[in-house]
Amino acid sequence: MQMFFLQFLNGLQLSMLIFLLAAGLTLIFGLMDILNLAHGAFFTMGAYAGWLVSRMTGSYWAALLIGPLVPFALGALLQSAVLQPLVKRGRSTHLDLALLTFGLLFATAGTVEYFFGSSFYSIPTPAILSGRIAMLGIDYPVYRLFVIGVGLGVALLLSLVIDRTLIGATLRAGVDNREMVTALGININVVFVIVFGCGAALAGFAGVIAAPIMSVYSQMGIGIVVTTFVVVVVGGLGNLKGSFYGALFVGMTDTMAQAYLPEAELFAIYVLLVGMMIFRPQGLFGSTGRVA
Amino acid sequence: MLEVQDLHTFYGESHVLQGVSLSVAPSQCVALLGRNGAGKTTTLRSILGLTPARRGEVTFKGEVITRKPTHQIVRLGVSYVPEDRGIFATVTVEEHLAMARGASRGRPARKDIGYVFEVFPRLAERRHSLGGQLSGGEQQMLAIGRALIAGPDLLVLDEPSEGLAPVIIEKLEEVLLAVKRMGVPILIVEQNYHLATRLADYVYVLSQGSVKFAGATEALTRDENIRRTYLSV
Repeated sequence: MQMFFLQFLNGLQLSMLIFLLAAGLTLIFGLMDILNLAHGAFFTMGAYAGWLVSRMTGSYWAALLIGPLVPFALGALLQSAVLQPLVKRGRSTHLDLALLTFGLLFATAGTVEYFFGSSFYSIPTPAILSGRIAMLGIDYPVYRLFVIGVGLGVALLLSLVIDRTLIGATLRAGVDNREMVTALGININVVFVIVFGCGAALAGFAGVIAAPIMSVYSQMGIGIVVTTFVVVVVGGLGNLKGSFYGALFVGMTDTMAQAYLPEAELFAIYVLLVGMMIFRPQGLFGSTGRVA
Repeated sequence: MLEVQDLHTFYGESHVLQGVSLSVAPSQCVALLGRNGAGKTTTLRSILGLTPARRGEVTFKGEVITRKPTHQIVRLGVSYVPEDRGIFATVTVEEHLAMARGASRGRPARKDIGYVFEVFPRLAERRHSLGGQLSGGEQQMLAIGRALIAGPDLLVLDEPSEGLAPVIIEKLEEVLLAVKRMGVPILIVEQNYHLATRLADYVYVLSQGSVKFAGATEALTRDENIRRTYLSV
């Protein structure tokens, strides 16, 4: 029972981390129809930027605040300077963009390795979040509880912004009918750039959050982007709520498989993916229309 | 107000508009008539920059807008109600209006949301409903209310009566006549010949992507030949 509780918390922690990535990925897809395989690159960039900041300032909190700014800027730049012109030139099918962003994902890993080498780095856990806390018969690391809390907080904040604000209404409208949004006098390209930047920033934020528990290394974004894709497919592409529950589903499956069925560890989530594609291709929450 | 000169528009290789010219004067209501596939909707879409014309020129308030992006054209004061009404399924009535109001910041004649609720009291009752929960008539009211909130210098309507019950069409006609009396110029595409001729001062009849008749509404109602050949009424 204690073992299960421990694994449950580990699963929850992993789920929340993947959710931070999946949220941006699904919003970008829902709104812009871009399958952004480079999303993992922003995770890496955020982690490295955070690591540099933490080394220079010695502050985890500075890393957490400043780290995501790098992926925000590069994400906004990618959308405005590379992807948008492609749409204008008619080279923006799903395959075009998937290939381009796939290339960017590996190019980023290579570039990072060129500058920082292939060593593994880490951001030290801040003192206030270090140590363990005793609960229900287990000692659980405070930092992992912090990750769970941050994930839940971001999920709540995002859903409030999307459901209750005018910005959120514009996003919902854009997912539903982009053309009509422009016909209201709104420059949707600006909305796209901001959303792309925010999605990339969230991925970078996840990178900093992950740095004290996972290693910071050049390839770190490649594995996690695959898991993130499983999440958005399971949850329903373009659906924020779906990406939350999808993340829980995938995170739990992965963790529980590692704990109780180690032989299946490597492919458990892919079984989930394939099963979902066959029996419910629209995902858990995807219906006919997508809702961000 | 609006001048359209020799517009040529393509969908892929198909040459849909083959030199359409028309104009809308201040305070004038102009109807675009013709059978399905005549190019009426495409004409409106080309004016709005949604399907940009390959050749020709569109001038609005003296400014050439042919190559401008849609959102800039709209900000100059063109409000558009598309054929499918363009209501967002997951956005509430109030949010629809607030979005349109936010997007028309800086326009001198911009209206409050309350103005739309006065014109369409039914929308006030449904202010918290999602677009997808509205009836066809309510969606049309919302689409028109949303178009009016900017205080437009030109209202462009694509088949507003389509799919509506006769009582709702009567209400629609009342509202559009009121808009016309306020002096807002209207460019309307309409299959409902009687509604169109009651509203419009001037009529263009389109067939196969070009203008076959242009004249005052009375001239069309007298010209049985044109009506039979191009409109089947």
